[in-house]
Amino acid sequence: MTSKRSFINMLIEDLKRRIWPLTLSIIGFFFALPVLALIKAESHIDSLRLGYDNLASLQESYARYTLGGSNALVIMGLIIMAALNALHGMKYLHSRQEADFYGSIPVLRTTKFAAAYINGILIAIIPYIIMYIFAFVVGLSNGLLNAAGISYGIQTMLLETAGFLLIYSFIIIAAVLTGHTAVTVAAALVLLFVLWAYALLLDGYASLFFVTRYSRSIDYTLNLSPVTLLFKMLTTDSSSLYYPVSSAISAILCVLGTVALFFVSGALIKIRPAEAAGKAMAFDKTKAVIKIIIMVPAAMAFGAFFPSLSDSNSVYGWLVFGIVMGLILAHGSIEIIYDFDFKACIRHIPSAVIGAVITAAIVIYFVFDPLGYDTKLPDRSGIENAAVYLPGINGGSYYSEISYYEDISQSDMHLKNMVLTDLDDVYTLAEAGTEYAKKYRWHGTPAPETIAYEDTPHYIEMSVILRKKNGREFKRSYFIDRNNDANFSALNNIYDTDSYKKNTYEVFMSEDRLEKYDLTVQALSYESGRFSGTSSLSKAAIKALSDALSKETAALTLDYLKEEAPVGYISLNTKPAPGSKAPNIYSIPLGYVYPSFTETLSLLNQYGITTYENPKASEIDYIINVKYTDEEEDISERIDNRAEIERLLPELVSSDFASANYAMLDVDNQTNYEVHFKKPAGQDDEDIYGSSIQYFVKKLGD
Amino acid sequence: MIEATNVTKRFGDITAVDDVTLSIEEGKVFGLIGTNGAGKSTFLRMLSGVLTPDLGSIEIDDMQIFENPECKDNFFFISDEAFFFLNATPDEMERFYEKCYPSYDKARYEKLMESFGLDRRRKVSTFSKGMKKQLSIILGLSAMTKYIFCDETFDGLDPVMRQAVKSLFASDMAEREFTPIIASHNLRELEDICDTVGLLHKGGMLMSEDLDDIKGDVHKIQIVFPDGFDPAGVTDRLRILENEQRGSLHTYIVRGTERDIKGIFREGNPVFMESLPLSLEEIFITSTGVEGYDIKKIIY
Repeated sequence: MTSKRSFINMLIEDLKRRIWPLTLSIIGFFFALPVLALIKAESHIDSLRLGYDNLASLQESYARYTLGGSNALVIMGLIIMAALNALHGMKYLHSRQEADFYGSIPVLRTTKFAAAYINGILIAIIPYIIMYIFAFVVGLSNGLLNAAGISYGIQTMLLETAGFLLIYSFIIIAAVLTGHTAVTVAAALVLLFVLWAYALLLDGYASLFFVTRYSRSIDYTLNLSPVTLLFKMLTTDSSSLYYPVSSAISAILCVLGTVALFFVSGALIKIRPAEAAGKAMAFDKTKAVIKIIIMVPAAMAFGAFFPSLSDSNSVYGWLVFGIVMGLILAHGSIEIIYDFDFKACIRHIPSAVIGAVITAAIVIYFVFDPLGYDTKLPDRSGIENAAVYLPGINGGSYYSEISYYEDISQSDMHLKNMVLTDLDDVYTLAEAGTEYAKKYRWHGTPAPETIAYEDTPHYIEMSVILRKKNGREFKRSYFIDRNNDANFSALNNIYDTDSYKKNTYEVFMSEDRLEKYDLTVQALSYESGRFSGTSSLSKAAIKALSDALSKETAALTLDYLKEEAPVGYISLNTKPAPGSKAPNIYSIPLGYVYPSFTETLSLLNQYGITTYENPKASEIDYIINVKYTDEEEDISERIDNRAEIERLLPELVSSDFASANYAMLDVDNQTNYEVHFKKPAGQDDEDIYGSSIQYFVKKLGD
Repeated sequence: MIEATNVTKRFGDITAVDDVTLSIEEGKVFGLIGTNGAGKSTFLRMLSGVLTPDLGSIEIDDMQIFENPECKDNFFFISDEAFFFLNATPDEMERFYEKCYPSYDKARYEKLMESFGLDRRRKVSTFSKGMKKQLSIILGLSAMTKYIFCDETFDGLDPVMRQAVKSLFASDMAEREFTPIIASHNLRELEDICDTVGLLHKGGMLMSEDLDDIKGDVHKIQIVFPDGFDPAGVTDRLRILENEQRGSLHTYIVRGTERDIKGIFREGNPVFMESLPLSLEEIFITSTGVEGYDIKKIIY
């Protein structure tokens, strides 16, 4: 090949044909970066001058919302440019005239393709980088950019570029596989989102039909589409100006994926028939495969959609109807698109039958559970150890936010380090759970919350991990009857283990967390439902309190939890160490305080914190039993009688804590009581004397 | 030398080119003739490396064409609907081709543009169909390739331009190695330029012969016999392809040498006898027995 028609020459010639996308790119990123930067800078300088905000906060805001992943304009601009450049750059593949032109000149197809491919990247990324530099200059010249902000901006650029490359490469593949720009758009949407859609549908079907499915985060599905992955990579917690390591790994994978897709596209270009120009699909052999890939999730989506519209308990009729409709519509639509001919909708039935068989196999797997997902347990001899999580043992609204920072579910956070080696008790419970599943899986989705308030049986939720010797894990969520003696005995045994308690109650985890996140304790915070307060304490005082709480928590029994609710909740107000790269966590939970925790309560009182175990009749002015008829008519009763108040008080638990150990403590959530306290003479300040009204629910008797 | 051997190309259920074997010699104008849908464009697109044959092979100067820039340096393809970049001027197109073809002659481009009177800075999209064809031919000739493939290129050119292009082709053939291959459905268009013609029909090559050979073997004779003479006495001894009688004037198209044909006719003591020139269309119709391109009669 002579130098005349070298790759660079083709690059330049191709670029000449792409002036308008280049102009659009320049204008778009000009508004999304330097113009936005100027607007933000002006606003921030005003805020600073008027004293509305401090410089550090404004610098962070500038970095985050102008240079960072929170600048949605830039992200949208990159996605639009990826689509536009891929479609415009590859449109020569879709025109008969251009196919003849480029096919006959003495230039390799791969050279032309590579030039168009590279230009599509340069057209977006060069203006993007230049405009980013302008935005940096705006920030620096106005004093709104510090080293952390610059670093954050550069990280954002790298992540966004990596995400752009992958999205762009997917659309290029779609353009190479098709012969018509409109079909390319549809194909690109399929390629970009099909895995994500499959994952969501499979997850949805599992949730719909598997009774024992261990509920897990669907965040992983964000990795399955380049578009959602871009947004995920750019997600940071609101308190830090850096991205997690996972974002960097994702970005590297995006670049590797781009390189792989570039070579795959190049290989396809070599074998792509020129006569594909103008046709829907470039490769006839891909037609059936792509149709099936689309038909299956379409049918599954229709199958899930119709039952969701029906109030009937029987979902199966609508499920079948939806699947059949989905299969027919998907097959017909795709064949019409393939041939640009409505009459084509009844062609190629065998591939439609294959799609129907695959769909049926998937749906049968979920509906009939032939592999025993709900009903079988792994062979016990292959199990190394286990872990159990009961959300109703240490739950309630005072849950830890640590799981958010660790990007882990509440249950996984408690289960991950728990090691139960006595498998008898775990299997007793798991087998009870499978029995429940067998009983309920053909009666629609069970409603254990409702069942839980009945006397017998009393179902509670439990998550189990059986860790196999081969390193794999068996995770399920079961409903078990707490009132069954064997089950309760097994629960008791598990509850009494050291590992269970240390991985269930936050007080045992607090020291590790302080160390892990490099946090300094600023104060101790106590909530009692009526009173709340904070106190700055010495390290020694906090240690003493923590030790007392640990000791008394370790002494808790399930029998006790069946009788009492907590009366308070302790947490530590924390401050991140300066310069620390750990997430900025401002609170670490220590845990609930039960009435039996006399040593803990005593220490709290010594530290000047008002604790409040239970109301005394003498403090109470009156109680209102809040009641409504089915027609929403207020039929509440006021209780002034002192004897009645005294009789009632031992049966009440604060609604703030009634759900902490709801798996054990039975309360009537439908009956609420407003306890109105007397105000000390001449005193109106609620901050000192607590709330004048506290809300309670009634314990259920045995 | 272009060699196509048992070339077949199918588009789905349609066989566009069916088992075509063809040799195109250098230094001669080859005319590829056929009705619409005969497979001319498909054959030229395979010849240009745009399409690949499903079966058989095509070689130009013993080189495979597809994805072979070295081979493609040797030809320029003018498609039936030539492509020009959006909003491009002739000069912009020229600059592109200059980078593609190693022997590109810019000076020739400038000279031809001036000769044809085309505005080099006007957008090609504003050109008429004929002007676009002229521009394609100018660019093709400026590429200075050994072969030029023209798909219906003369369709749309006015007679003056057509003659000018033919002259340019003839001039290039005289001055350098140059072989035009011209596909057309219009026999008259190729009549005075082709040396060799190939007739494509329904994807198959019905015939491929040197025009001089065809013309030397078929003759058109107008003749008037004496009153009362029965021409069957002489025509039975001739290979008459076509016979038309208007009054006493007979017009015969006859296969054979002119000398032999006239010798036999003279035995009838004709009152008047004259040889008339045959058009290419007449040659095809008569030599293949086809009328108006309906060649079913020949095939079946």
